[in-house]
Amino acid sequence: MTASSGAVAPERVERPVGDEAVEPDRPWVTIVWNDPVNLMSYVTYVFQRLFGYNREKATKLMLDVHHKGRAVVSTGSREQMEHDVARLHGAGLWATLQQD
Amino acid sequence: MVRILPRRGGVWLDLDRGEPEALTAVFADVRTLLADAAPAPVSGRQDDPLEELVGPVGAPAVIADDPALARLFPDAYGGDPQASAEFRGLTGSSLRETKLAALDAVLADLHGVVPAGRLALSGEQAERWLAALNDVRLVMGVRLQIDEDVWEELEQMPADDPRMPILELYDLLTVLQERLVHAVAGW
Repeated sequence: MTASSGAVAPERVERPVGDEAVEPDRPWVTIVWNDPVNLMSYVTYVFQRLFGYNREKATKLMLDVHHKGRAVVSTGSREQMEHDVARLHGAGLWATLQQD
Repeated sequence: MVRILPRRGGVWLDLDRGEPEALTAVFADVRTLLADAAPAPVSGRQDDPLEELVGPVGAPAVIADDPALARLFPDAYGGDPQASAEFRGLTGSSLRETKLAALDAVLADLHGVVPAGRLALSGEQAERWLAALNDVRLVMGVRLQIDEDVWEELEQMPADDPRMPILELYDLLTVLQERLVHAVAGW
């Protein structure tokens, strides 16, 4: 990412594990990847707007993407994550989904 | 250099001499790039504007030969070209329409703002500017192989370097997007 802004690791929502014999779906996660063009300010703003995070949480997530190269930004079902990835692509961020 | 000023329900965008033309030209270029991603159909298939990008649904992913377009339509499943192609087949048309709409809106906003001038943008218009600016910067980033050292490079670049004009344009777009984000976000 590029330019400047102002903190921490993304929170993960842990889903309760059910009966192992039933093999519940493992949750899926949406990952945002660092790239050299996207502005730190813009990425933070997108996280606020798309996920309803406050500025502090959005900034922490953005800094994780910036410093670690990637960050998990949401978790849920595959369909939910496809929806999040589509919205992130709509904002020009590089996002993928995968099973946790 | 561009100035952004808050106004009720939106922003004022002040552009200096030459900036409206430069912005119009680059937005129009990227608009053409997106609009032209619509080849002749394969025989037997209904005309699908994104076929060049996605290939027939269910087939292995066919990323556009153009890496700039590929950046605007990224793989959703890393390491799984088939799943990525399916996702792109489902979402790509709508994504492309959204991007085109933003560029068209921005071009309309710029129309008639010459040689320098002040545009009034609503919050909604400003959002579309953010999206359009981001897409244009992404395309430039791929075309010019821009990395995070670009600012250092620009600082040290001799004035007659052939890359200077295009990088100065990238700088203008970057400053504009940065200031617009701050204004729209209310920071």
